[in-house]
Amino acid sequence: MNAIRTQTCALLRVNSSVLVCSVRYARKPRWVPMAKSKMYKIKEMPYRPVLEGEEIQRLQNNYRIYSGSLVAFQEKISEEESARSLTATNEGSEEHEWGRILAETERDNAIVKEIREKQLVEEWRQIEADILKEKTLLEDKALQDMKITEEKLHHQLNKLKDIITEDKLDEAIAKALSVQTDYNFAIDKDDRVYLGRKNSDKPQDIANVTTDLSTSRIQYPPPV
Amino acid sequence: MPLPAVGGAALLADKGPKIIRLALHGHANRPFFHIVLTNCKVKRDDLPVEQLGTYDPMPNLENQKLLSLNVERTRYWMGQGAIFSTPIAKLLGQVGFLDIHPQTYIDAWRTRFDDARIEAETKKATESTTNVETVPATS
Repeated sequence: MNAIRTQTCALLRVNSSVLVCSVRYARKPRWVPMAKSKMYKIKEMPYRPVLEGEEIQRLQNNYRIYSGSLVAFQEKISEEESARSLTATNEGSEEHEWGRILAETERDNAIVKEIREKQLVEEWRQIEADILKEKTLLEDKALQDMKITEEKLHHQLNKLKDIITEDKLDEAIAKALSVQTDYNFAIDKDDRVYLGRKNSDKPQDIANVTTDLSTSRIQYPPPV
Repeated sequence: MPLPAVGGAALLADKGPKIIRLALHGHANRPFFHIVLTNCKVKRDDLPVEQLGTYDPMPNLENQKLLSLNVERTRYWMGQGAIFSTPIAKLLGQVGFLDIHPQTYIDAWRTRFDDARIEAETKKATESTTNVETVPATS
């Protein structure tokens, strides 16, 4: 039985003859060589002065000594304190201790309160100043808006000056009928424009036509 | 019977070596540390044996990084043989509770050295450019 167990163990054991090499996911496998671009790259080490090591050693030694002594001191103190607290509880001076701690807390609280009140007053002053500044800014903006609105209103009123009202309607109709406008015109092969008879008899070159091209329905060729 | 420890890890209280270190609390983009006394084998943010204080690494409106510490309990645990981790030792050294940690000095002088080196390099670069400008053109 024992022999069978040892044989199975031998089968399960990873022999040195078997190559065991992990793939190392998310990393380069070990059997892949160094990249050619990195082959002759020498990493630049940060410069450290020669004496720095000694200095660090000295500082660390000092620190160790100081902290060790501090801990030893504290150990002694806590031993004494524990002994004293035992005796204090036996004597029943817990209430006195409680009172002392309360008084200390109140003193500390008073100091903190004073500081905080000062700070709050300062903060409130700042807030007040900010609000006033904001208020003046808003008032200025309202004034500006009012001015712009008034300007717009005047502009519209000026526009309304020449409008045809009900009183002037007959007059306007009579005026429109009296003035006849001829919109007829023609163009010949040489790009000359003949306007309507009522307007003009003279032919005109297209280049000399000074009508507003943007509003015109006629597509004139561009001037040469 | 004594009251249970503040962290509630009463089971670990008497077991293993103790360490005073920082445990990260707060949330995304807002780090906040508890100064805790724990068994040095437990995870960083596990329930501690006792919380000894807090440390806020982000400066507040008055540009202060606030550190609160229960000095009495810290001293008590020092007496019990608890050790300090390096970050908290550095902090308490700057505060004045412990001696100034050597790493504080090392960081300071390395920063100073790097600053001086960068300054010298920039100076050299500017000088070389000015020299190129002043060289007369040969024809």
